[in-house]
Amino acid sequence: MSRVSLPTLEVRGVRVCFGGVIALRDVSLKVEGGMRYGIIGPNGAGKTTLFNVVTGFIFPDRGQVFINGTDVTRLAPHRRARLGLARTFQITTLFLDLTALENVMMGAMVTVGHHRSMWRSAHLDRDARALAEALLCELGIGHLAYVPVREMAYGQQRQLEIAVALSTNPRILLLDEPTAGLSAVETRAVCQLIRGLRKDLTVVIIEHDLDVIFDLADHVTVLHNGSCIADGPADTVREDPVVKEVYLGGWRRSGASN
Amino acid sequence: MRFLIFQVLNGLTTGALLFFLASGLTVVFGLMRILNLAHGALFLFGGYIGWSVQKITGNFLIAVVAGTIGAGLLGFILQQVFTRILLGRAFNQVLLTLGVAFILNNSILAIWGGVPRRIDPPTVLGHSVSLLGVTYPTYRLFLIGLALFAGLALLLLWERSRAGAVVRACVDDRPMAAAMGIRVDLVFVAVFTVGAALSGLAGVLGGPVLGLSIGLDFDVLLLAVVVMMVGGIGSVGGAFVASMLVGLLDTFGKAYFPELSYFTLFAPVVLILLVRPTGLLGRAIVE
Amino acid sequence: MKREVALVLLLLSFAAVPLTGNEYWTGLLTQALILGGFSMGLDILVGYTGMPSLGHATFFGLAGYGTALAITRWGIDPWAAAGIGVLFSSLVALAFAPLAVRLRGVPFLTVTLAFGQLTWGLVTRWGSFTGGENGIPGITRPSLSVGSWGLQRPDGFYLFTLAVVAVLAFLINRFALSPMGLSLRGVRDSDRRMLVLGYSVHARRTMAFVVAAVAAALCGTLSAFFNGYIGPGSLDWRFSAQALLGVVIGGAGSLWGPFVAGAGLHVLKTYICGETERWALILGVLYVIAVVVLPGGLASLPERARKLKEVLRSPTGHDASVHKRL
Repeated sequence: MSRVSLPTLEVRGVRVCFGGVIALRDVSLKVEGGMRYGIIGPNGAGKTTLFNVVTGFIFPDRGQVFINGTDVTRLAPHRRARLGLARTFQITTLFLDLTALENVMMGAMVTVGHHRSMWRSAHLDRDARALAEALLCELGIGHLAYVPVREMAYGQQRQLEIAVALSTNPRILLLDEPTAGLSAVETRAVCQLIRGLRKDLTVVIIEHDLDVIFDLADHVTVLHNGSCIADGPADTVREDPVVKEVYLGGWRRSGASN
Repeated sequence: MRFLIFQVLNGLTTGALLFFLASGLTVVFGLMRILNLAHGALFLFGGYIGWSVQKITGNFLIAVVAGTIGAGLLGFILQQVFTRILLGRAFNQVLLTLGVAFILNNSILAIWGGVPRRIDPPTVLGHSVSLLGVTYPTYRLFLIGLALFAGLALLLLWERSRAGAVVRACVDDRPMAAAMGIRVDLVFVAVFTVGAALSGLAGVLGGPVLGLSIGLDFDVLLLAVVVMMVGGIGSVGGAFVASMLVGLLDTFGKAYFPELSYFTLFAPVVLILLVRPTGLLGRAIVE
Repeated sequence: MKREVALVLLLLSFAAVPLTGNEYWTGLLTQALILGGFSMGLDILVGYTGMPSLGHATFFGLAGYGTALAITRWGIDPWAAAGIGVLFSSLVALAFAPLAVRLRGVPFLTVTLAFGQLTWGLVTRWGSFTGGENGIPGITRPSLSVGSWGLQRPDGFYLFTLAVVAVLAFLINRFALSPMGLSLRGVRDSDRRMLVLGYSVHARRTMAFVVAAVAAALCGTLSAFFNGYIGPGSLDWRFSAQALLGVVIGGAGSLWGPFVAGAGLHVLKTYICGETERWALILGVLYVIAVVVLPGGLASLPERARKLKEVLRSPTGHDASVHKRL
């Protein structure tokens, strides 16, 4: 009997309406395990809305979302996280009054299974702490472990966002504009970081910076006004004339954040 | 049957007073995100000023005007104080406005003493009228009618006038409104002051019905907050509906279930809040 | 290690108070400790989880009433009655919390206020059962004696209260330092982030509410035993507001700050009510000061003092910046 392999993440015919505005119009995509999948499009194209549908912050008016074949369309966000989904946000959603280490430990505690404990000291939890410290070092911000996030530079916060997302040991990682607002040097560092992620981790990236996307992604979907106008291997999409037109004649580096 | 009609009219009277009080509270919160817990003190302050003025002049109308203006002035001062200090954090706001409410409450006590007072209604409205089979005080009917009129006027102002549009713009999207050249800070001052004045107006108008006593400020404040939450934050129409509803609930509760009157009022309120957190006619608060 | 030693010394010095023989102070401190515990428990909800409540006295009072009714109406042994009181109050919290915590900010504040008034109204009006405005007198203390020291004696009860509150404070502290406690601060700072990490924010908020309520219930029972009486004042929203003030003045989220402030406010109130009628005025002024001058509460003082010392010590210390900080 042949075994059909299910895509790790699938979005089918999703439609989202806000008031009178159609934010997503019959959007579908399939992400296979281990892929580096890019989603690009001009501002307001619906990219973050798509992420919100995938992560459960918005329930679509029509369509479905599947994680490893399981229908999660109406599942609450925290339950999807337990299925291996992780995400960063465009606007930093770190715990500003906690230290970098505490931020990563929040997820690490879940990974080691100690998050329900009401008696043991969280800071003395060796397993969670070790995991958190290792992650921070991997991302090059180990030296900031005891710094409150509020006092960290923006670029370091964006790196921490990724560390926090990785702390739950996810199988699918959604990155929402990871290089937004970063300098050229910081952008290169983040790209290197993403390139260095585990091969069995499925990564979906929303990006504005086209150089970054075509550097990192195998497969790209282009959204425009809520619709999917192109979808395919990165090189194919790059040459698609419709896409080129949408981005006003040829690719250029977008540079600054929205 | 007569008892029922009587209670309904009583409920609507309370609702009328609550509407004046709550409309200011809800618009201020919708606009400035400040829950002014000193709103009840403004009510009482206006009422006492009205009482004093009536004692001196013997004229009800002058008393009403004095109370309204007095409360408006105090409101203006408070608005200046609050905007300088508050930076939007929920419980600091609660404490600051509550602290001012306590200070005002005690100041009112110091100035006017603790003896409950009553304002006399104008002689022309001082009698009773036969209506729907009951004999009912004319003044209370006047209040109900006034609230209806004011409610319609405020709604029209809110929906149709340019001033209303300006305020609505500031509520919906403050940065955009500012970018369009609207003086948002002036809108804040105006709305807060008008809300305070309405509160004082309610205080004086309520004088013949509720009387004036220390502690009344917090009683009405609680009802006004409840009306705001039930009617929906920032909704004048919602405040009207909710005021009448709360007024009726309060009155019926006291009339038919005196042992459980607080319960009959607040149990539905708790239920409404839990089922429809944005209130009956409100919109979701964007945090 | 130093911290533990300091705490033990503190505990011992508190325990030594009865030796002064001053019954007034012993009684005052008993109540102060109870109210410190009350504010500390509230801090878990307000400071740690970021949910401001003006109805926390409900759980303090319900426990007191439960205990009182059990003893005076049904003749139950005070120890068991205490258990009943705390259990009753906790169960009410357990039923209410899952619904209430779906609200946030001002709507949450309002629903806690409304619920508090509902309870207060019920208790005040249902005179035949609850004694109405007069409350329930005649609450006997449980019997416990070590030699000639029993709970009936003021100093005996003081030591008992000290022990119970110390254990409560210890448990609250452990809870706060645990993964659960840390996650509550996460829920406070960014509930979206917590959801994405796999935490059920709703369940955590419910837990915080119930834990704070249980602490309040314990304090309410102690208070009922101390006074031998419970009245609707223990359910009044003004009492809730006082506890909240303790949290803010002490420094929301610091636990020890609210404890000290809650206890201190009681001492202050007792002193002021003895001198003048203007407690409401002073309370109001304190509220305003708390917000304007001390937004981080007492707990922020060590940090501000430290920063100030740094500024003074720095070689380029500008006088202007020192004045600005003050």
